Amino acid sequence: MRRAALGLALAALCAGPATAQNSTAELLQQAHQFYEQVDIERALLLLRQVVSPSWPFEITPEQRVDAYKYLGAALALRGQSDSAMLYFRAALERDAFTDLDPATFTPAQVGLFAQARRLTFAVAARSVAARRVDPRTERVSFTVVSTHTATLDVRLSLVGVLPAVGVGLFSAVSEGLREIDWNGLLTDGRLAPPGRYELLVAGQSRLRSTWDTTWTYFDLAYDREPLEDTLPALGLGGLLPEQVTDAAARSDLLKALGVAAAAVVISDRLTNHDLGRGMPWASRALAGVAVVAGGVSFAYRRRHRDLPENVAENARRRAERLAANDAILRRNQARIARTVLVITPAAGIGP
Amino acid sequence: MSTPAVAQRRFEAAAFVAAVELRVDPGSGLERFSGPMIGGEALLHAGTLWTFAVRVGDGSLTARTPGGLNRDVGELSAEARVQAGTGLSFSAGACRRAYSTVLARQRWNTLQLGVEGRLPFLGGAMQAVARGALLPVVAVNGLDHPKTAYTVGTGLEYQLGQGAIGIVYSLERYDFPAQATMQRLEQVSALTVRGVVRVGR
Repeated sequence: MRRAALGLALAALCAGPATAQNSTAELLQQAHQFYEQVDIERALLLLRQVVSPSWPFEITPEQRVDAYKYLGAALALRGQSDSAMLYFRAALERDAFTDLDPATFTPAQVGLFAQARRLTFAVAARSVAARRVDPRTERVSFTVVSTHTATLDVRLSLVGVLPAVGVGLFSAVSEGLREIDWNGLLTDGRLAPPGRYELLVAGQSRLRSTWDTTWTYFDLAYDREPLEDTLPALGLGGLLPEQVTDAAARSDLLKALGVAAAAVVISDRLTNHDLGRGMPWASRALAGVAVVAGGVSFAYRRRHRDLPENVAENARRRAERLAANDAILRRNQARIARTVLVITPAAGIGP
Repeated sequence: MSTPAVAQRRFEAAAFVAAVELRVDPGSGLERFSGPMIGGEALLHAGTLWTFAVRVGDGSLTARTPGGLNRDVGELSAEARVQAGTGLSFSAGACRRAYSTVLARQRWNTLQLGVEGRLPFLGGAMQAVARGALLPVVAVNGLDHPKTAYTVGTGLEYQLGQGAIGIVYSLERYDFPAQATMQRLEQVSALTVRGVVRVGR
């Protein structure tokens, strides 16, 4: 038997690194077959080879857990309860999702495994699967587990954002596997913003004074039509002055005085000197009218500063902007309501 | 039913009365004439840019210097004006004017290229007006083309509901080239009060 195992191991070694995992998998498969045939000795031999520190090939965490589980099951069949318990606990410590199917394993094995669960405390969260979720009709589902009765606290938080953005998903006593649904909303009722999220599971054993935490990450993105920008606030260029300024009143006076001066200049300077000034009384009359008009305008504008037409026009522009922004907000709300959450698993905090 | 193009047309009618002074030095001494002139004007605003105007006027000038002959003056002019910006416009026009005495009639045909600026004040109720034009073509029977010919003017216009009333002081100056030892000089000064009203809708 030992020769067969060594031969198998040698064959795997000769196959090279590319087939290292396959070698472990093949050996585990072989061990499973021996176990199914109740050839416990051969199965134990192969399984011990796999978990041995001298095993030369790569072994994945899942393969190691599988090996521990079958080692525990095989030893339980041999009546070595303590050793079986150790391997079951080793499997549970590495993967709290480990379980024995009562349809496949004997009641004694299942009983030992249950005992191992009571002695071991670990929590785990299953990696989030990639999927698209319409938060109006669907839920994001997380699977967590504790090896025995524990107070579980499951919290979701956006990574790298201050102040912290998150939502508590579960906080109660739990045992074994638990499915937790999330509607995609934060505690304030808003849709969770896009970004990388951490699902933190913290468990406090109810049987032993121990605790455990674990976490998993996923990216959340939106799939929706781009939102429209609202119209900017009406600045100085967008609104008419609602009151006459002193400068405007002075400007009126200057314009009128300009007309008066121009009339005098035309009659006195632009005429031909040989012909003499052209109707100087007329230019002075116009200049007088202009000075009076300018003075009246100056005085009137200083006493009546309100510009009701401009006030009304500004109110119309403000109302127009408000209505346009309301329409934009309504359209954006409709788009937000149709947002689909795109969930993809992530490796850690960073990209 | 009016089409959009028709809807953008706007008609105005204007009437004016002016005090006019004509000063002439044919080379033998200053002659001065003055008197009233009245007239009317039709304006068509096509869209927001273009304005077309036709103007007629008639007046009687009395000789204010000894030996002068009283004369009647009649005028017909047409002008096209285009807005070049807020309160700024350019114009081109033609004018036919006739001075009649008991002895003779003198006809003036001119083409002019002008610019006009308007500055609103009193919240837009009034406008300060300044205008000037060069007269590149001045054809007077019996006389050469003047070496200097221009017109300038300034005034105020007050908006009154569907119309406006304005007062403008203007000067036309013509310096003819000297011939032998004599040079003919003419200038027309006028103080015009003009009322304009929108016609139709």
